[in-house]
Amino acid sequence: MTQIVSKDGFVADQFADLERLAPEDYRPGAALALGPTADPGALAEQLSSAPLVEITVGGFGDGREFSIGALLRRQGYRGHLRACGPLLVDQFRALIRCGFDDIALPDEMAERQPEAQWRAVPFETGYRARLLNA
Amino acid sequence: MYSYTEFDRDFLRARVDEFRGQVARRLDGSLTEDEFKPLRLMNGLYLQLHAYMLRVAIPYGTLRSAQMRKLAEISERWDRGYGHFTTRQNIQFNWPRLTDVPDMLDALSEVGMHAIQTSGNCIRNVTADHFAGAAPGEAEDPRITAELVRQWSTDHPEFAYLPRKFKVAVTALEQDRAVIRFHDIGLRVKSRDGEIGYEVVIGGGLGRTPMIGKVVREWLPKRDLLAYLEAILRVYNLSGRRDNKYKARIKILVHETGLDELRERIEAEFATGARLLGDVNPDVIAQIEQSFVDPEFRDDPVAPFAPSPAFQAFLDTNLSAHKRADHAIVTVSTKPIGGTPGDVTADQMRVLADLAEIYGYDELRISHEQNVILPHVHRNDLAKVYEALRAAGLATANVGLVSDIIACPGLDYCALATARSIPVAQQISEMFADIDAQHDIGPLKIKISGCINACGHHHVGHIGILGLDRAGVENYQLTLGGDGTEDAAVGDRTGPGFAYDEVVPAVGRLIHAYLEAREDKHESFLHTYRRVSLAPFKAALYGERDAAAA
Ligand code: SF4
Repeated sequence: MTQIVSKDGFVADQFADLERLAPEDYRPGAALALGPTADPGALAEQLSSAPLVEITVGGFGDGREFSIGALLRRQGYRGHLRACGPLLVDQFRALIRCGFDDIALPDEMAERQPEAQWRAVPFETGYRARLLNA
Repeated sequence: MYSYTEFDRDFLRARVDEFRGQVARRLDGSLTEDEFKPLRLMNGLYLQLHAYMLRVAIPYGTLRSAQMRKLAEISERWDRGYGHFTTRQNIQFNWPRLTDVPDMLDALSEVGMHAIQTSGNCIRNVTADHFAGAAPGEAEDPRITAELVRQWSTDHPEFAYLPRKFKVAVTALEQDRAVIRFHDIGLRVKSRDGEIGYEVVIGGGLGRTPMIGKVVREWLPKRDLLAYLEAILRVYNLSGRRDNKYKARIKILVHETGLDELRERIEAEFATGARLLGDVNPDVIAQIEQSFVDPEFRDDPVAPFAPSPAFQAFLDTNLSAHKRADHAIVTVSTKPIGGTPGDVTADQMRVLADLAEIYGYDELRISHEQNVILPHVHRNDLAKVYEALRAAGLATANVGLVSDIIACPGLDYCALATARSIPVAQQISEMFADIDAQHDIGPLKIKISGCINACGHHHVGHIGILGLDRAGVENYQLTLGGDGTEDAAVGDRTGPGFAYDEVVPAVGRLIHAYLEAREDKHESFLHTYRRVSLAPFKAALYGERDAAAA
């Protein structure tokens, strides 16, 4: 099982009832489930009707989800964006900056990283945002 | 010089607090060692053979005297009274305790320094020509670009977990002292019709598979720099190999994909990205440019002086031309005969800081050749600077000569090492203890790595030495003719390697063979090698060994 973590801390999954479908099986209204090798450029159709996109990370330390998330946002995806997998509280700031709304964390990792740690993450302006007004 | 703004200071304080928290979470078990590892690496903390090692960033190798003094203080308070300057213009402390590291970072932050992104699979501390801003002929001080890249790459949200480490170097001259052709990205600042821009090189690297970088863009206007870098990094982050750490650098992506196809992908990504990305904040740019204006150079007329022979020898090797005729660039060798290349004691750091303050407009540089540089010294002050260096054991007149050796830490410190490198450097230097003989041999770059990772840049040494492990015994491979400059070349293997006690005499034979083969004193080792190639050197190396074995 997983724990959803947003900027508000540990929260319930508002999309718990949605069906998760891979791009090739996608039906409008379902959540779009992507892996670390997803090509955001090839998903325009699915993205236009997906209320939620979940990106499962490729494993601890695999950073492709950061670029995939940033690209989805750049392409204009306005729905809910979620990263799923073994993530650290130390990566939270960067995930939010890349356009993610929340993460789905394995329970075992949520136990070792209690809610207070996530709520303490500072979201001050970063160098990139300051340089590029972005 | 760039002075930290309130923004930079707040950022640093937040990062030190964050790391303090990470250490606490590691100690209380919230973080496993596997999880802690990338976090400590991103804060410059390695686990070495005997202890932790803290690698402190010196962005583009530029330091103020107050910063050098702080490094001296840190080395005395939490380490063993010395620091080690590296081939990436950083400084390493070899003996910190994990629990002291947050305090060390606090002390560093007092002078606007840190250890962020000196390790880990992220964009590393950016390096630049160590004579930047002092050398004649630059289109613009390359540190303006380097500082911009530093800010952009620091804590970049997208690129902290790349397939592998990523290094950027900048120069502003045709004559390349920053080794840009052996970096993941090399930037050469140039001007065209009065506009500043870049030649962009990608996919260079040393390590297991040395590759010379390729030009991906002949001309990139300055305003497009960050958008173009983002395009390169994004393509790399998504397509770089993650299945094998030895194939994960961008050089392999360039090699396996082909430059043309990769360029197309980068350009496509750039075309969209640049359109959507805001212009770089002009206030930040103005503030950076302001930071690299010249100091107010003294213009006293240069008085003639009659140097002693020892001082003359120092002037011959350790002085370089400054963009002003009344000033000079002084390189301080960290390689006394028999010393450890790059090691500087706390007392020596203070002497260097004082000299910079009194005679050097408060500026110091660290070179990738592990030396310390006073970039602006009025010629009338050279004698006083020399005397002070001599008294501190820092006046070795060997810059660019056979004993100005680059050596990685090797088996003396490094957990990855397969052989010793420092003692090999020390013995070579002792073999040529006579400075006059060194001056006679002339320019010669020897570079030594203690394993295939090539931190000692052996591939680009005129003589490269790579220490390997052959069934539990150290074995040293020699390469000849490597060159890290604009004439980039990877050295050629000479043949079978040499045991630890054979390698120094083998280097001696190589140099002897050069002296025999050169046309005259003005033909350097490298030029001679290019003319005569391997044969006479092989004969000198193996002829003798085979004869001894027979
Ligand atoms: S080349 Fe090898 S031995 Fe030398 S510092 Fe690098 S990793 Fe360590």
